[in-house]
Amino acid sequence: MNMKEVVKPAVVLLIIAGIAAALLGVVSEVTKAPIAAQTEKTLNEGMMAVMPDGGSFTEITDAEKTGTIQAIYKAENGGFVITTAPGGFGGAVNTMVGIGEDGVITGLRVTSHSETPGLGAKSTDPSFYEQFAGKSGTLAVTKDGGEIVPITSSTITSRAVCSGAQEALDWVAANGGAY
Amino acid sequence: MANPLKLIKNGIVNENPTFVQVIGMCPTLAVTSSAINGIGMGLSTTAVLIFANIFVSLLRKVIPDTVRIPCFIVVIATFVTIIEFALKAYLPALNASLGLYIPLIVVNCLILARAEAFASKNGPVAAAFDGIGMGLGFTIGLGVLGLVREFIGAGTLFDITVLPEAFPRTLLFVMAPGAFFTLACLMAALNHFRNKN
Amino acid sequence: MNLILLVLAGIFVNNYVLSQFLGICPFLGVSKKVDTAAGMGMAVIFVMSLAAAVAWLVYAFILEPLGITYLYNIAFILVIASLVQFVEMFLKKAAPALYQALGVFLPLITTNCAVLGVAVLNMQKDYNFIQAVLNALGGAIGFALAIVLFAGIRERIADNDTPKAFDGFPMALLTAGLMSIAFLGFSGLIKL
Repeated sequence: MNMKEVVKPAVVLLIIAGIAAALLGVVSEVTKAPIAAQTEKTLNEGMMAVMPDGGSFTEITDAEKTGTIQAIYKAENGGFVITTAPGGFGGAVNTMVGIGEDGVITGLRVTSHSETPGLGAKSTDPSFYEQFAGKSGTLAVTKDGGEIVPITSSTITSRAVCSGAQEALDWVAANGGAY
Repeated sequence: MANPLKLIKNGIVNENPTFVQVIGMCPTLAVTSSAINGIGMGLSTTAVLIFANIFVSLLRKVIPDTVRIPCFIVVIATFVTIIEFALKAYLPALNASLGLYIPLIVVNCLILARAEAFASKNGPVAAAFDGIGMGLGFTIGLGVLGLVREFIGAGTLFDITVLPEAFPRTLLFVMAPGAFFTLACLMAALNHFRNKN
Repeated sequence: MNLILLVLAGIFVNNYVLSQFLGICPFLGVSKKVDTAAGMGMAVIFVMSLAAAVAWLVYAFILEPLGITYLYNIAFILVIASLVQFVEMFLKKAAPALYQALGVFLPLITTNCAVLGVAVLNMQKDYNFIQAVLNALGGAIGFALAIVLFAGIRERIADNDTPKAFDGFPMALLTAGLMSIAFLGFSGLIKL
């Protein structure tokens, strides 16, 4: 095998890879702003849904995140929006909870999950998540002596959402005054 | 040059990727829990297929035989990444439901197979039409599978409820096993039809 | 403890083939006989763990520091393709017996989407090095388990009469569907 047979293919491959990398660099620059805008829009829509009169929200970055808490946002009206990721049946159930200044839940949404379609996935139905609005103190499903009516045949998912909301309530009770 | 219409028909009917060639099975089974997801995946793959075919065809005389597979893969991966960014920026909901399977279009055997078997041997125009035909054939396969699974499993078509509430849903069909069963039955029905003729 | 759970979850709960549909092509293609299925399974365990490790290192020490994470897809697939080639050459020289057993399966692994899938999942889930390798190991063992069981069932079905329309792929898909139902029984067992 002579040198030319080895070098030429390698050079061609390198050139193609170089052009590909340059092209992707351009595409990634162009789409950076729209992607960031989309992410922010989704987040804002979620926060508006769980706390309709929250005004604008700012993230609290220096707070101690207990349990599965992912992020904490302070609302203009003194309330908090907290995202948690309690473990459900098929993985984390990402839950967003709005809690007013008085420590009462203003709204709750399950933002993403990998629960069973038709069973645990019903945690995104209004009939389930609307139960949480107006609740405070200690949350539990009816089976565990609480007030939340679980999704039919999906107690594990329902418990997960409850524990996510509980973590958020406990955080506000313990640290809410400091922010 | 072959007739463009013939190339498209070939992809949709004679060599349909899903039902005849049985390749690209991972996305076929994984994302067809609803018709929208199936068609979205099909169209994303079609876009990659068309561009990859055109560029492989244009580069076919430059690429040395020994490194052709890595070169094809680089071309394919580039277009997959572009589609991924475009979906993230402009269709975030579809991107979220297709998730991991978008980057995995790279290893969809269908695209590499077309690059190797067709695009590297034909001109860019023919390659583009081959991409369109194969892509549409793939999209139709995924769309049909998605429609059937969504109808039986959730009682909806394109997210619109069509079965009365009281009618029981067979949840299994939107879960993993349902993908296998639905494809098995569709293929058996096609075989039966073909054997009769 | 969590690390053991991660491996077990990969094998049973999140089985790549039966619940996430990764690696379906070799699963359907190389499963007519138990011997070849076992060979494929071994080759996948070997390559997948190695590929996950190298892909993780490439991402953490090359792509991230240079700020070119958008090239991850190209980088991972090239890592896998060259790794497969390298393993093939190495085995040929160093362990001819092993090469005899696994050699024919190695080229097929490049297009096994489970290998690329694991590398991408590790990146998306922000796993550290040990988690990434164990996740790949669990997933690969799960793949091997599924393909060997599947081949065992197919060997038996091959000797029986099936409806003519179901010959070949439809029968294989029905079998895989039934196995998938069995593996559904594991879901929810392990919380990560």
